[in-house]
Amino acid sequence: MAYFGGIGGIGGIGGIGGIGGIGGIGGIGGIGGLTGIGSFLGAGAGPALDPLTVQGLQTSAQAIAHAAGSAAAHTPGELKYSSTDNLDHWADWVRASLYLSDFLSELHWNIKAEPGGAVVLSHRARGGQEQAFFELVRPEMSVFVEQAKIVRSYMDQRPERTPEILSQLGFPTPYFAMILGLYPARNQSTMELISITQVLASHVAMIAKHHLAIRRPDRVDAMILPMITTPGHGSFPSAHATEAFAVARVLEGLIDATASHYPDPDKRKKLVRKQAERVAVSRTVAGVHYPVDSWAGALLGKMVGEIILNKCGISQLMTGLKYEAKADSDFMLSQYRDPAWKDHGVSELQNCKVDKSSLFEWLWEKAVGEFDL
Amino acid sequence: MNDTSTSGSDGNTVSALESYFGPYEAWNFGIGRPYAFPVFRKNDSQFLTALAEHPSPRKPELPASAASKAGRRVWLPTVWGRSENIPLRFWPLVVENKGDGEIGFQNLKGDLQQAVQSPGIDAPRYRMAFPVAPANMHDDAGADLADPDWSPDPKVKENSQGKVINVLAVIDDGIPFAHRNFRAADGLRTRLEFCWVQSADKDPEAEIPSVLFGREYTRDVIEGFIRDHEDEDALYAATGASSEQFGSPAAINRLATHGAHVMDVAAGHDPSKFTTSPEETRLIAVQLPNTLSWDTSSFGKDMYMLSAVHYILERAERIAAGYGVADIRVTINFSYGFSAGGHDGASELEAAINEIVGKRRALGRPTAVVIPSGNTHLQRLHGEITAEDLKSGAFEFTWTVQPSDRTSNYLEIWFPAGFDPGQFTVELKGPFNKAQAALKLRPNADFEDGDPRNFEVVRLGNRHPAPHVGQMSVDNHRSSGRWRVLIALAPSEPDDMDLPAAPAGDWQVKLRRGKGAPADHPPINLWVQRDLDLEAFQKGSRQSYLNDPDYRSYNDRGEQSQTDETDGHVRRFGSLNGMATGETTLIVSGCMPSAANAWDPEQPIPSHYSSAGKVSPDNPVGTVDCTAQSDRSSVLPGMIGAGTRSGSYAVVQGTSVAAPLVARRLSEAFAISSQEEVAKAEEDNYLPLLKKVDLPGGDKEIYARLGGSLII
Repeated sequence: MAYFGGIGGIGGIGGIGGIGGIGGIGGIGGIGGLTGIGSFLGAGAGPALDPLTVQGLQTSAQAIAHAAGSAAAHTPGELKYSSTDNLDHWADWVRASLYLSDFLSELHWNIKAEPGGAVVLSHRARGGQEQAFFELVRPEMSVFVEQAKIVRSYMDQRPERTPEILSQLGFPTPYFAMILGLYPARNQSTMELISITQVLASHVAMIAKHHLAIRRPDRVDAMILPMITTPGHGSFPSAHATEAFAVARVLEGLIDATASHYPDPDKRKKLVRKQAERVAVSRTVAGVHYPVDSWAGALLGKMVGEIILNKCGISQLMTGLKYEAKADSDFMLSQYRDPAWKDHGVSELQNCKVDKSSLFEWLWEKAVGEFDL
Repeated sequence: MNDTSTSGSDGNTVSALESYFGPYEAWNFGIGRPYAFPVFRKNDSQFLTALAEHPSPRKPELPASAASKAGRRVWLPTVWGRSENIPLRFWPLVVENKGDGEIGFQNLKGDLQQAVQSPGIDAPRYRMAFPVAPANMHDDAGADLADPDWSPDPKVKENSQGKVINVLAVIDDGIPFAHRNFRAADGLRTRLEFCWVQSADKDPEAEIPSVLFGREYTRDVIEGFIRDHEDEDALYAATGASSEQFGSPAAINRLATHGAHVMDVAAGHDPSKFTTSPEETRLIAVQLPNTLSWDTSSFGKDMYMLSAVHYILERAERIAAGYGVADIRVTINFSYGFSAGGHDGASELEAAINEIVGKRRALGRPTAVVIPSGNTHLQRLHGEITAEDLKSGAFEFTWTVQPSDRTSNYLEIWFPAGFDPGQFTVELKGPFNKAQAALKLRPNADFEDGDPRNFEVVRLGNRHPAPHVGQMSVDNHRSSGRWRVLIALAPSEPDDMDLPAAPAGDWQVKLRRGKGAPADHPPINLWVQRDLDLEAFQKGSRQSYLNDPDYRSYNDRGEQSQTDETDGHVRRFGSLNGMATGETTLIVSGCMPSAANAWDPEQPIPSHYSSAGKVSPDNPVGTVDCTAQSDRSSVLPGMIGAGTRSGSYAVVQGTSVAAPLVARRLSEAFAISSQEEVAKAEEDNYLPLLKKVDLPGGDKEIYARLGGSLII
C-alpha cells in the first residue's frame, strides 16, 4: 500500500525518498512539517484513500462497468512533449523535485585542504565550464572563541524575541509575506518561488556546513545556554541567514519586476532586507549562531538568490564572493554591502554566468503575473 | 585611632573608615564585598567615583594642587555654575585609583581623602558610586573640559511663534536620541540640543573632550547621523552609543526601554498622529549607565545622577545664551527612585539636587524637577513602630528574606528628628536561630572623624570563626541629625557558592528600649530597600519585605487592600520614593480611570502600586503634589509610548510614566507664562502654572495618594 506510506511522508509516494529526507536536513523537527519541502510538496499530493473506500471503489467499478458498453477504446490526444505547459498539471511536489534537480545538477563543490580549509562552490551548466561563485574559508577556532563574546552580548534580547525565534524554527515565510501582503489564494506561485528558494538555500548551506564542521557556540562557551535545541549540524554558515538572504534577494528581483504594483517598491525592498537581517540575528540571540555564521550565510544566500534570478531569466551574470571571517565582526545590514563589507573579510571573485532554465522561467512568469493588478 | 579596622564586641574584625563613608560603603567594600556587584568585587577599577559632601559650601576650584601633591589625579565632570564660581556643598568627583585597580579601604581613603584635601575641610563625607570604565574615561582631560561644539538652530526663533524658548530634560536609561518623535516637523532637524550618554565609549577623535566620560552628542551631530543612516540600528552602532559597559549589553538595542517611553511621554511628538512639535521646547537628555539598574537599592548611582543634573543645567545656560533667552526655564524629569532613606530631603543625592536647584532659582532662573512618587505601595517595604508598640519596653517584627536571592538585602530603621536612641538596642535573630547579633545604638568613640557611628557583625551559627553574613550599623546623619540603623544581609544564594549565605526566611528584629530612654516619641520608621530584578539585567534580586500577620493583602470584597490596617506595623502610606521628599521637587503619583466612575478620566483612582506619604496632617515623609495617568484601566495596565526605534511602541507601567506627562505640561506652561506668573508659582514648584482638574479633597487617603489635582 504505497498510498499509506504517502500519508505520513510524501517521500514514500513517488519514490522520492531523498526529498522526504531533505525535510529532515534542517535537523529541526518542525522543518519538514512546518515549512519545508514536506508541506510544499504535500499540497499537491493525491488523496491517500482509506481501505474501505479502496474496496468500495473496486466493487462499484465491477458493478457499473457494464453500463459503458463494449465499444473499442478511444485514442486520447497527447500531452506536449518536454514542455513547461505541463507543469501546471503536475503535483506541487513534482515541481519542487524538478526545480531541485535542475539547480543541483549545476552545483559543484571543491573542498580545499590548504591552508586551513575552504569550500568553493561552483556553477557548471551541462557541458560548460566550472565557474566558482562562492568561497568560504574555514576560520580558526580562535575566531569563534572571540565571537562567543558577541553572542553573549545578544542574550538579553531573548525575552523580547522569543515569539520570533520560536515561529522561525522552520522557514520564516510569514515574516516576508507580511511585507509584500501575500495571500495564499492569490499568490500561490510567489509562495512556491519563496519555498523553493528556501529549500535550495538550505541544501547549499548544508554542503558548506558539512565540510567546514564548526562547533556551535554552546560548545565554545558554557554561558551561552541556548534557548532552543542546538541543531544537529555545524554552525558555519547559518542556514537561516542563507535562506533569509536568498529569499530577500529573490524578492528584491520580484519587486523590481512588479514595480507598478507597489507604490513604494524601495521601501519594500529595504524592509525585506531588514527582515532577513532580523531573522539571522535572532539565531544569535537564541544562542545557536555566531555573527560570522550570519555573515557567511547572508553572502551565500545572496549568491543562491542570484542564481535563481538568473535561472528565472532576469540576468545572466553575477559576481562571485569570497568570505574570510573576522573575529571581531558583528553582523549588521549596514555593513552588508560593498565597500563596507571589505572590512569584514568579503572580497570578490570573477564573474559567473548562469543560463536561464525553462522551469524557473515558468515559475517566475506565473509569480510576476500575480502582481498584475 | 588611625587604623582602618576596629574590633567588634565579639572579637571579629569590623572594617570601618577613618574618613567617613556610609554604612552601605562599609558593607560593599568591607565584609560584604564578596557579595557586591561584580564591578566592585573585581580589583580592576582605575577610576573611582564619589559624591563628596562638605560641611559648608566651597567654590568649584579643582583641588588640583592637593591632588598633584599626593600624586593622584582628580576630575570634576561637567558642573553647573563653574564659570560663575558658585559655591556648593555637594560635588561629583572622579578620582584616579592608585592601588593598581584594587578597591580597598586603605586606598579608598588614600585616593579620596588625599585627593580632595584642602584647608578648612575637616570632615568631608563620600558616597561611592560605580567606577567609570577605562574605555569611557577621558583621563587625559585637564582641569577644564572643552566647550561643546554647538550653535543654536537658526530656525527655532521663527518657528516658536512668540513662545518662550525653554528647556525640557530627561535623565533615564536607553535614550533613543535619534528617534523621529524628538525631531522638528520637517523630520530632519532634531529638537534635542544635547545628549550625554554616560556609558558610551569615549569619542576616539575628541582631542579635548566636552564631557569627562562617555560621549556627548550635540544637535548637529545627531542630525548628521540622521542624515547618514536610514537604518536606526546602524545609526546607534555608528554613534558608539550601543557599546557595552561592564558586560551589560546596550539597552538601546532592545525594542523598548524605560527611557524611550519616558522621554516620549515628556517630549515626544509622533508625526503619524499629526501633532506639531513645539520647537520652543529645546531638549536635553542624559543616559545613565546600564549598570545603574544592577542595584535598585540606590547604592552606586549618586555621582552619575548628580552629574546628570549638573550637565543639564550647564548646557541649559548655553542654550539660553545661544538663543538669547534670559533666565531660561528648565524642567527636568527624573523617573527614578529607591525605597529607603530618611524621607526628610536630607539624603545625599536629594540634598545635592535641592542645593543646585535652589541656587539656580535664587539667581532668578526657573528650575523644575519632576519625580515619580514610587511603585511600592503594596510591597510591604515600610513600617512604623509607635511609642505604644514599645510600651512593654521592646518590639519585635519580622523581616522576610526570600530564597534564591543573589543580591544583598537592606533594612533601615530611622529614628525621629531630635531623638537619641542611645539607650536602645537592636537584636537580630535569623530563621531557626541560625544567626544572631545585637547592637547598642551608641556611637563608638574610637571613630574620631566623621559622623558618630558603630558597627556589628552578623554571624552565621556558633562555630568559630563564624562566617559573616551581615552587618548592623548605627549612624547619625550629619545634616538632619537623625539616627539610623542599617541592617545589611548577604544574599540567600550568593553568586559564589563557596561563600556563606544569609539564610532565607523570617529574620526577627527586636528593638529594645533601655532604662532612661524616652517613652513618648513620634513613630520610628522602617524602610526596606527596593531589590527588584529587572529581567534584562539578570542579577537575581528578590524583594525582601516586612512580614506582619495583621497585614491583609485582600479585603473582604476580595480586592487588593489599599488602606492600612489599624493593627499591625506595616504601612502602605509612607512608602513614598526615597528621592521624592525634597523641597524643590514636584512629586507625581499614578492613577487610572475607574469602573465605579464610568471610566471618566477626570475622576481617577490611584493605581494600586502608586506610593504616597503619610495621611496625617503633619506627614513627615514627603507629599504627593499631583497625579497623572499611569494605567489605561485596571485591566489594561500601563500606558502606551514610544519604543526605541522610530514608529515602535511599548507599554510601560508605573509612576515613572506619570511624572513625564507633568514635565511635559510644565514645559508647555513655561512656554506661555509671564515672568511674574512663574516667579509666583515657584514656591509651589510651579504647580500653579499647570492646567489641571481639581480633585475632591474629602477622602484623606485618596488625597494623600493623588494630591489635589490631576494633570491631563
